Amino acid sequence: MKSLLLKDLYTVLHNSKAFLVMIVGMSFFLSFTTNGDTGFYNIFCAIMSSMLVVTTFSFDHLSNWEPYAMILPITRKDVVRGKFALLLLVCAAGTVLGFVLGLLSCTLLPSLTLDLHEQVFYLFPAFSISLFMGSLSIPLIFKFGAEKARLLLMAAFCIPSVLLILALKTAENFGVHLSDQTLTEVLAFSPLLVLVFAFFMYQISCRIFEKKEL
Amino acid sequence: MQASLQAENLTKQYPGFLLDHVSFTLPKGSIMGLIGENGAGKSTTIKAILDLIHADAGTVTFWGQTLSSSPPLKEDIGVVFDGINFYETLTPAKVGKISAAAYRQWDDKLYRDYLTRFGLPLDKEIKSFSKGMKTKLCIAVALSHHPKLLILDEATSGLDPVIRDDILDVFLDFVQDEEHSILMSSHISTDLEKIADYITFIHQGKVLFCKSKDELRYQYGVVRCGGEQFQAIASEDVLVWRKEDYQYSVLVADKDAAKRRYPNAVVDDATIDDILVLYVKGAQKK
Repeated sequence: MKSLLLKDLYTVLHNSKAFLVMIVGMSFFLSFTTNGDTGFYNIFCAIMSSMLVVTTFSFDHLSNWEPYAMILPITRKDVVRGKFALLLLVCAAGTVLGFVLGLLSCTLLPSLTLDLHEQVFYLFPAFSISLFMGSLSIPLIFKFGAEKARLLLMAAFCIPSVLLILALKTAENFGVHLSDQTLTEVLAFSPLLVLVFAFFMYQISCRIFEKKEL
Repeated sequence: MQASLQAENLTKQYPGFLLDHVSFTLPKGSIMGLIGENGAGKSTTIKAILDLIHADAGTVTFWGQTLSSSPPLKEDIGVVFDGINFYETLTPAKVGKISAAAYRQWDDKLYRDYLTRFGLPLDKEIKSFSKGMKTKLCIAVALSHHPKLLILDEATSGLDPVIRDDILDVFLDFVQDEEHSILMSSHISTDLEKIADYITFIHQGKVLFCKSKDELRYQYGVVRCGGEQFQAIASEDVLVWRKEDYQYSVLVADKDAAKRRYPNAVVDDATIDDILVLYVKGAQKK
């Protein structure tokens, strides 16, 4: 699995300059459009980082890597494990990057005020949302390939968001209001919940890849 | 005869194509050429051997063991496909590091020796390499973990004769060790005539024959004759025949016997190309 991670990291790092320019540029752009709410930086950076996993699948497809991976002394499960390990790495890195950029924006831009407590708090949803989206992507890409899966990914990301909004609206209609404390508790536990979800997606991916004809 | 690789009754059904009970044995210390027309089933056979596709039936054993029962066997198998499987922004140095992380038996010195021998730069991105350089890089990787078996799927196709000759020399060096073997699918019959010990011919998903190259070279022949002489040839002597513009070409399994029985006909040596074309385009005599 180490070799798979190394191969993906080389690919990710090769594209890191363009990625960093885009992230930094977008972060500063967002700082002028989000009414001083830097939480969006963290989440945006983490999500963009998790999408790097999708990029590695595209590179794998271009170089016909999957059949070659299976001639290495590894199992099909190792290939899946490698992608999820990469996802965890890039989600963690993206979350930290978003945190750092948030701090920098607050320090450099006079329109923003630094609230360290808030910045730390945003680490949780940033990591959770990015890991959730990445975990959802991987089985879809294993099943349909990176190109075909793109449209499905849009649907896969939109449907849970719409369902969540609908659930919150419905709860409000029934008079159930989420207090700030409840929301904080949910967000604090969200990484654990999403890790369980990621494990479930890993199992599904293993089954898909085990049956896949290379 | 100890076998490096044994395929028994490999079967795989696709819509419109059936790989039909493919069986052959690759003895240790030998090179086997897998030939056949495009779409005959050579690559499907190799994929089934390597467990890249799930065969409907049949077994494949490497030194008596199956890959699924013993994944570490892959340490002893080097594979080269047609085309490079590493993303093109990587360099040979990075490819070496990736491979070193994959194989316990990886020999970095040997890898660098191959890179030097093949004239491949260590730190140049693969995208700047010619097809020949890419193939040489794949071969360097395949050989640098000390495999005992090389599996090559159209590895030399699209290369110029000089590079092919270099590569064939590497393969001949490799099989100097009697524990080593090569299974090589190729369209280039001259390559196989140069290095193969055995030829397995796959046609429409079936193995037509698996014979030693010397048997094909010294015993098979092509009788060239006119219509009258063709009618006189006994059907049991004819493997396949084909009517060409001005003559009949008849493949026979014993050219010396054919010379004795049909003294008025011209009997040529059969090349692998002759055999392939006659089997694919010809017919059996009834």
